[in-house]
Amino acid sequence: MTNARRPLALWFGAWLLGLIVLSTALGPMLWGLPVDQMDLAARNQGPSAAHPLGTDQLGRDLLARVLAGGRISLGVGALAMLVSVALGTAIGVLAGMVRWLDGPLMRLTDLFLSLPLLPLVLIAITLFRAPLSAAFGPETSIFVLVVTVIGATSWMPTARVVRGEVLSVMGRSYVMAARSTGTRGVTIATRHVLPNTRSAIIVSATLSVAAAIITESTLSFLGLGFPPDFATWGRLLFDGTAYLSDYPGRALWPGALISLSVLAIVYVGDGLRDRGDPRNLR
Amino acid sequence: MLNYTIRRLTMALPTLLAISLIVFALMELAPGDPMARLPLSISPEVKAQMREALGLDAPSHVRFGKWLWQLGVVEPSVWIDNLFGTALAEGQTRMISWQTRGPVMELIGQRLPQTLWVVGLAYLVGTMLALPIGIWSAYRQYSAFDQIATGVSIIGFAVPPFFSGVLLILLFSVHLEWLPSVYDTTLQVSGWDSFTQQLRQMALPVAVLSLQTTAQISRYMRSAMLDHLGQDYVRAARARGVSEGGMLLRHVLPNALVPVVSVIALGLPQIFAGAIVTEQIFRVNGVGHLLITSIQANDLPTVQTITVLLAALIVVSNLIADLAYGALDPRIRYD
Repeated sequence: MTNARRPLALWFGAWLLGLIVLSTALGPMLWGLPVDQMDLAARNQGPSAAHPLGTDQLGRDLLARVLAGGRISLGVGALAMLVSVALGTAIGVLAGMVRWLDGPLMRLTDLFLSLPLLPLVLIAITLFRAPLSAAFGPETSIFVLVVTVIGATSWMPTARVVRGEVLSVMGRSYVMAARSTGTRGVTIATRHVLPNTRSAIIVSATLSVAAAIITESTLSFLGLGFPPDFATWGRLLFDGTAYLSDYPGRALWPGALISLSVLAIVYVGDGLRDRGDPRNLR
Repeated sequence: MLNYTIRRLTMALPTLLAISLIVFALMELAPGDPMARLPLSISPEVKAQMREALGLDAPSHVRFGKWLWQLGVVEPSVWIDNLFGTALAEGQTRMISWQTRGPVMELIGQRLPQTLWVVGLAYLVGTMLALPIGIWSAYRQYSAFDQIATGVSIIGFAVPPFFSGVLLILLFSVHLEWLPSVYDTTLQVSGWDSFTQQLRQMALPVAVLSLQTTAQISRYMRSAMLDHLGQDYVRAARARGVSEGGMLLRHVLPNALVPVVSVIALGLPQIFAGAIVTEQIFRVNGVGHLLITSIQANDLPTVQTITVLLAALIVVSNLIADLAYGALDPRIRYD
């Protein structure tokens, strides 16, 4: 793609993402209807002024549910990204800076890359759901569980990219200068290595938000993520497929929002990558 | 090359062992009791006996060893017995599903053909579409065709299979009523009619899965072609008067295909994971469906076996990808 088009893609992605994030964050305040309020007299309604997206089989307002679902889906995406980027960056920096750790950590990364991740995530969530929810209550525990499991199984690409960047930074003369003046390893990492690998970390962070949103939706769609009364985009899509022939909107809205968010995030990531790549500054 | 192959194979074995250990440990760590779902009227003594019968009273390392033995020795020898009529596995206990009380491998054997048909066809269709799209996108870079192909592949990434499946059902089953949305697994292909019916019911699942494959592989094909189209040997071929088609297919394509072949091999496990979702949407009773129902029913032996088989598939496709690289590109030497 030409360079002239790229900033446009970045702006388009950023605007779209900002719009989705803002409306899901502020939406429940502006759109006053409660998420779980059932109104059996107004079941299965089409779009109207009172319910712009209609209501579901229990008379719950779809717009309110979609907005609330977005909070959870985007929240899971962002928090799982934090877990995965923190893990990946730590492992990548350690492997790039500490020579004797490089081999073992990269073998570990390879091992994780050859795990069948989707089945393992499904198993982990099913097995740990019941005991955790007894300890922390159903809502917090499933949220924490999903975030942890997705984060712990998606750090590998970040670790690889960061390690490569760290290795190239470690060969620069300013790192050698810092070393020769007796700077401690931790200080070199925070003052020289991390700032210079920033753009690579940001790009892989955007990609892992997108991947986490898709994974969470997949889990909810398979019925093994969030519980049924918990509105997330994946869950709403799953519930909507049962009424696909009569009320397609119920599956289309959450599905379209998942795809639009992922699309926006991918555009932002692509735009940031080209910005951070000095070869494109010419 | 032979040395490298042997070295790679010996590296694959510890990887597989480590993966099966992780899968086993995950099940061990999880609190949860296979006896928890039995009726309360069963007395503790009987429960203890059932535990013993299932081999659950042994310490975990013994059970891990037994499980590996069953997976690596007993099940293959049962398979050989079935093929050649020998009796290698006589007297050995096989892995038993807690759900059906039958051997796990027979359960998987019943479900595998459906999955293999859908996944295999999707992979074939996806790759066959991706290669020409990638080649033409690169040859006519920035053309309308290239832009559309780029757009479609971004959509292929952004629209996850569970949503593209829903969209296709809505269009082709609900609105146009051309194709069935539910896979009829009892259908026997016995003649022309049932064959077309089989094709029609496979169309949607295959389309969903191949969209993912096409989106990914066509990107790799495009960038690999672009890497080579700018090189001097292409200009030299043109200068000698080689036709454009001959230049593309006989000079550029073989070079550009080398990295793409390994991408194709590496994508195989991914499409199996995609099949878990697709089988759920279209209700194909394949291996992915078996996995989901076994997870829901807490049938640990079946879940463990399917997961390890998927891991083995990943390890094998990594192996194929590595070896293909060396076999296709004579410049690569592993010494």
